[in-house]
Amino acid sequence: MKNLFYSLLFLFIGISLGIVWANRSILAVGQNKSLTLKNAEWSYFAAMDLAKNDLQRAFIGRIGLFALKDSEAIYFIANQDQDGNPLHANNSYILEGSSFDAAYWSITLYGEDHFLMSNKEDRYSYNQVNINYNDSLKHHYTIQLGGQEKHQKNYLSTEGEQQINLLLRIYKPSKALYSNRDKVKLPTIKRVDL
Amino acid sequence: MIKKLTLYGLFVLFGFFMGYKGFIHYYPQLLFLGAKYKIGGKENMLKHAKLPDDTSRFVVKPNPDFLYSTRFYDLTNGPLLIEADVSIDSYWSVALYLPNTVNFYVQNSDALNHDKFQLYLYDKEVNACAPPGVTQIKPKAPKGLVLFRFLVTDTTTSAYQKIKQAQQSIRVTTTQCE
Repeated sequence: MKNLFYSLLFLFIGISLGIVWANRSILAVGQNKSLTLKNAEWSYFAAMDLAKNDLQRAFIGRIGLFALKDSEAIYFIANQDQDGNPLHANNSYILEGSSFDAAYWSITLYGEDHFLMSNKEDRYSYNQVNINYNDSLKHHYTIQLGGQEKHQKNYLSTEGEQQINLLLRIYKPSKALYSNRDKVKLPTIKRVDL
Repeated sequence: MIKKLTLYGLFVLFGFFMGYKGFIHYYPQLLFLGAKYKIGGKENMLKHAKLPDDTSRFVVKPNPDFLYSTRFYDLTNGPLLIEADVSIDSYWSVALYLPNTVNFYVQNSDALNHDKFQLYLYDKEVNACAPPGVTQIKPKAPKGLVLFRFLVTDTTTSAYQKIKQAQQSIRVTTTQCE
């Protein structure tokens, strides 16, 4: 009886350690260079091979449940600025970028819980239709992220003491864009004092 | 004593392996069930959501530009016929997910050359009663999720009303073959 008790106890300890380690492994997928690639300050997945890769499926489930196949949509995530520092709601940033050859694209701001952040303007994102472009050809844009006052036409305000992240969604990307995800020019994220 | 410690060590190792592999494998299923619970989508019940905002806490990373509609299905009750009137100009898509959250099928606004979207989902061999010409899909698992996305880029125009109408036009019916 005592032996059975100790056997089950050690089995339970093993299972608990396994779960803790698995959780660490899921979180580490974002740093796994064979699964997560970088384009400047943005990260993306080499392939959305969710049917075969348990670890990638678990990670995407945590940060973006019900993501689409990469043939339909590609996703770029930014957790840091161009100097490699984590994006934080207390700081101000300027994003400068160009539009993309796709059916639809958008840049959305999320809190550290991966949900939309409350703000005075009820503005959570910009897309290719509602963004204010800098030029008449509707190509270049600037977005202000954070800061007490609005200094740019495109402004996503932040609230609270927390890390923040951006998600760039590109739906039905052109073939050229899809096959050049590592080279396509993505918005720069520069920390500024506003 | 050494024999006993070795045995307990093996139990720890075996437990570690089970815990590690099991958690990674089944974690997406837990998230799927969690989403189902939060959305309140009982099986075979269609749910239409409003545009997400900062109060939306159903699924992480909601897109504030999308009107979502969901239906958690169970094909053991019979095949499903999914229909919608999608006579809108903006992007829309319908995606199917397995309970392990894998997106195994997606169709979008480009793939359809008419206004009526139809899709037939079936389990086993009961596909004989699918309406003619309708795309038929047999998922790997009888349970899963149908997720509609309708793009809204401007809520002030009449196009928004049309998109909402398209969302409301979704019909998912369980069919019975005779």
